[in-house]
Amino acid sequence: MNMSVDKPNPDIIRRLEDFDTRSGNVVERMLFNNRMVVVLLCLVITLFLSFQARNLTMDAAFQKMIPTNHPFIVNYLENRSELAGIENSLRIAVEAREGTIFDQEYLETLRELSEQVFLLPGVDRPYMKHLWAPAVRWSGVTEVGLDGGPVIPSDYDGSGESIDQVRENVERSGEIGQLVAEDYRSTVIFVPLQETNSVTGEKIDYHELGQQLEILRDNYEADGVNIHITGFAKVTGDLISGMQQVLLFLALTIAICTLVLFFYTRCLRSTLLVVACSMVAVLWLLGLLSILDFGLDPYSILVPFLVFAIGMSHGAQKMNGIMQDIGRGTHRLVAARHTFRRLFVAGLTALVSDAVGFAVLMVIDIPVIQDLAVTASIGVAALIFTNLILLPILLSYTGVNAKAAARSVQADIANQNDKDHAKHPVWALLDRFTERKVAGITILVFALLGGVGLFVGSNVKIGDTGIGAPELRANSQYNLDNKFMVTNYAASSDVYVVMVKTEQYACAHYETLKVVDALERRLKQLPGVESTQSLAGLAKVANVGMNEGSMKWWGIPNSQGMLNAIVTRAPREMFNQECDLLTVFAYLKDHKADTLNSVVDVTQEFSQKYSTDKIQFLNAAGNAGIEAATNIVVEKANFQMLLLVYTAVILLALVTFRSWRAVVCAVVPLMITSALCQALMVWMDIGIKVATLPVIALGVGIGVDYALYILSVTLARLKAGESLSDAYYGALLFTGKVVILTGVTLGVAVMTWGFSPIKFQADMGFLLAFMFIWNMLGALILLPALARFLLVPRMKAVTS
Amino acid sequence: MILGRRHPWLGACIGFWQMKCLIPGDVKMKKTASGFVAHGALMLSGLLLMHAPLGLCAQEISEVLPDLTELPAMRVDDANHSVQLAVARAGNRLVSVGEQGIVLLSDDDGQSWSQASGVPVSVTLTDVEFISPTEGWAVGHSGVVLRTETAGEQWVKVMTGQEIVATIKTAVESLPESEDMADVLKRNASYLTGDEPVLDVHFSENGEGWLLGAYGIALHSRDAGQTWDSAFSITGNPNSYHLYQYIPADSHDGLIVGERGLVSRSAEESGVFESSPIDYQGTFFGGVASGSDQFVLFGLRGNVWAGAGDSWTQIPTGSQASFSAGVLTPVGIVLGDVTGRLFLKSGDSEQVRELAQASDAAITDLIVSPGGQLVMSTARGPKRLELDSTEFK
Repeated sequence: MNMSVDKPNPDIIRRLEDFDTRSGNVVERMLFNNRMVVVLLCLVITLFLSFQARNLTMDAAFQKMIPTNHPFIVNYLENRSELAGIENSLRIAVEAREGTIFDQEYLETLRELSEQVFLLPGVDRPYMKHLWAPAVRWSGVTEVGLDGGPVIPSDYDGSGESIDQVRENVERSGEIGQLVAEDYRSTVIFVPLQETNSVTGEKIDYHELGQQLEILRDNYEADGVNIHITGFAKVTGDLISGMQQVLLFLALTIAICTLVLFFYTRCLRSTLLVVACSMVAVLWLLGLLSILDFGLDPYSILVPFLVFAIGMSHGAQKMNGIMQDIGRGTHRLVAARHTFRRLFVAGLTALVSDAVGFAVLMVIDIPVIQDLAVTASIGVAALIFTNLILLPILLSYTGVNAKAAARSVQADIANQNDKDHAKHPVWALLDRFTERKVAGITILVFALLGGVGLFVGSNVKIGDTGIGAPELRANSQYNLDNKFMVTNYAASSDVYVVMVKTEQYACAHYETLKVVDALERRLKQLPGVESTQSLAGLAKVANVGMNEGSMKWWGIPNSQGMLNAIVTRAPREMFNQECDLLTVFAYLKDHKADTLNSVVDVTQEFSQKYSTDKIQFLNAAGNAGIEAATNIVVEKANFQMLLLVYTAVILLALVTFRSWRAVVCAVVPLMITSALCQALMVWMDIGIKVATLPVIALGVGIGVDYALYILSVTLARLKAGESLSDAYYGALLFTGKVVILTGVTLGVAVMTWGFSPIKFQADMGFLLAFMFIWNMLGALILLPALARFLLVPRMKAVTS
Repeated sequence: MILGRRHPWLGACIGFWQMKCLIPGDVKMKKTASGFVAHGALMLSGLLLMHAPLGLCAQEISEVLPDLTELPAMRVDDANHSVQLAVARAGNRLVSVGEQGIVLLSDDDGQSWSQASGVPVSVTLTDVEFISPTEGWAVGHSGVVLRTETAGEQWVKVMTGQEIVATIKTAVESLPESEDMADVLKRNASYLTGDEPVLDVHFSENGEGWLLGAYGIALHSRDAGQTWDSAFSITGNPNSYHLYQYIPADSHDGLIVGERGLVSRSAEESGVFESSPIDYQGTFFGGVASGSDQFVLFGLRGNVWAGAGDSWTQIPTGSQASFSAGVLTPVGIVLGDVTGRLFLKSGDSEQVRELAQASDAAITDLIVSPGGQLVMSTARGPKRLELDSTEFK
């Protein structure tokens, strides 16, 4: 950090002819003596990359949100093809607004809708189930055996008797709670999906499917029924729609940041230039992502916001330097070169520290976070060119508004001429934190806050704390639909699947089912498990059914003939074609960490005890299984990441200041903010999850910039013999404004995410805004207070 | 590990310590530049693993889950809502049995239940009966027969299906060829595997005992269960139908009912049961003797038949649901069905009328408690209904 102290410049060069173009280092000469080439080059790159950015794709990237190397996920992915029909299905509940489902009009609407759904792309048509499907049958015991038929009889004609027949069939169909709600006010169309079209090999376009479903919803809700749709595909579709909405916020962010910057500089042309350069960085980022074949996912879509905001703050800093030089009378080109000379290394260091914050995220074994790290690093690299190089060069052509330039140096000039002048009230207030008494109290208050933060923050939960699809807001259409399903059907949205591997054709052996049943019994004991389902459980029900409904037969029949007969009628999601893989479903009350851990513990203990070479119990599939694995990885990553990000920041500060005391001044405010952030998560009921994991790394990596700016100037002035108060005041005048500007623009940029329909984006935005603004306050308030006790005595010793 | 979770540094140390178990012995660090990188990677993986369960270090011990006839019943938190199949009186105590070897005891007339701890099997128990306040019998799947002398607290396994079937096969082998149906019975017996469930246990006051079950298995005892003889050939069941219940009567003659309209009554003296002609081919799950040798039989699809043993008349119920339980009460015969409804046939009435939806799951057995309450076992645990006589009018 070679930030020089801004003293009255001895070489204010008013005329360009007086400037030696061979001065400055080789980089500066190369760039500034070929200004037009640089500008044209940037223009060409920008055009090329903007063109490329058109091809950028958006996907929900569910695959990338899971820790693919965790043993649970490895197990899941290994057996994925065998687990057909577990997660990729849609449930469409059709609710009669008035009366019950036993109504001619309702049944007609249901038939029409199911025919429409049948035609949707990606539907695995033979396995679709609804009241009109021939596969949905009733069955009953008679004196001579089992009797049955389709629930809606083939001679259905809509008459009263026909509808009575349907009612009777429904009652003995066993579909109550499955396809038919317990209150008879709605029925479900069950729609299994094929990920890839078996004919064309194309993947499902979830976004398009989601939109077609919305059109169906609109059409049929006009017909007197309510439609509720749940399923993985719908969540994905909604996420992609949400992402497109989020991109609109980028415009809002740009507008607000522009206003803030203009208010700060009062110079339109340079404000527009800074905005333009930051946007160029975003365009480069998007273009490069497209070339590198990265798509935008719900996480990396946030990077453009960050890059833009970081670009704005660094651009503002460059502009500020140039403006002050011009204000003192220097020619604009010379001002640009001098500013470049003074601030390029400083800016580079700050950007590198930002990049360190991002790079640390690479250690987390979750692809979506690694992509976020790569994306952000590319963005920051682009900023080095656009805002550290292109911006000063452009400013050297345009110059700045003369009035604004004069204004920018007013306070500084006043300070130089008159030490006792009335200080700006904000700066004067901040200056008081260097006084011994105020500093003591400040440290005490912050220590207390830090203590509270640590105490409360230690209760922070791992994983998601809400119900329904965690990606979306609790009051989103999807989660309302999900709530409807959970209330009216025997379905839970949190499914944990244990995979049971057996020898080939052994999946229905009595010995196998006996052990599976034992596992099921243990899982059922857990308070977080609402119900379980497996071939073992089905065998008990079927055994009763095959013995004329007598409950005395409740148990797994110890007869292979009987078991084989049961298997032929069992639903296909319970075992695979080769009959060497069974699935045990545990339907959970919620997906909170405690619930998931209890299931994981029971399964692992059972697996260790009873796995043999003939039978193995593997964790875990189902959304809850994946979430359990993610939680385990996230919990580990949280500490690992804190450790690394702080190690990196401390090393960076040590290299910059070469004083452990200064490092303490810079890092302690960050640590207190981190502790408070965790406490805030507890209060706001936000858990540590994939989405909140990057927040602290980003917050600390970017947050250390403030301390770097303020402390480097303060230290230099202290060394020059100024008092702490004067040195700090000087630092505030030189970089304080920029620090506040940075804090505000960054805060604003991330706060707009709060409006996102995607819940985790809102959570990230909220927490990041807190981190950015508190880190700024820490650097302005706690840092001088710490300096009073840590730096001043030492400086005195040095000077005396 | 709690320490490690709260304190990252300590966690890192624990992580290193645990790695000792995780690095295979033959992996050695190379002293090269890449070794340095590898060391760094190990450090990271140590951090990664710092929350891995200590169990990773433990030698993997796997057990084979014993057969359910050998596996003591597990304590179940939600035992009171498990599938319960039969309930009996042991003095002032009520004993209910059901799935997973769960035995439930109630000393307050069926208001509260607790799981008995001493059940040596985990099979489904289908029936229970006490011959004194402390001595009782329970039977279940895989031919399990249990005996208690502690009013249901502790149980001893006295027989399994293998022994039952062996007894039957030996007896059937020794049948003289001249005997009626001897070859049919021999063939039927040869299909038995020993896995068949016992479905009914009954003891009379004179010490006569019956065990009946699937595919016609039947044992008979004359000495209160000390010894058992095969009754396979005397139940009037040449088709090896399932036998669901022995219905005792005041007089010597009991009835055996079972699958496909099987109704057998014991002929005087010989002890051999003969088919009692009935105009119904569906299964009877049980019956109740209502004094003066009058029986009410119940079964599939709402069938209720009444008679004395030589002729039967159907009693209309208006229900299509199978009846699965019945008991004689002061107000008449109460029947329970698989949809959880109770029906009443009062006195000599030729009618059965619906009383109440008493349960949301199948009613599997009914009994009048010592305090005069109607107690039932259901597919969702035992349940008590106040036997308010006004409700029965």
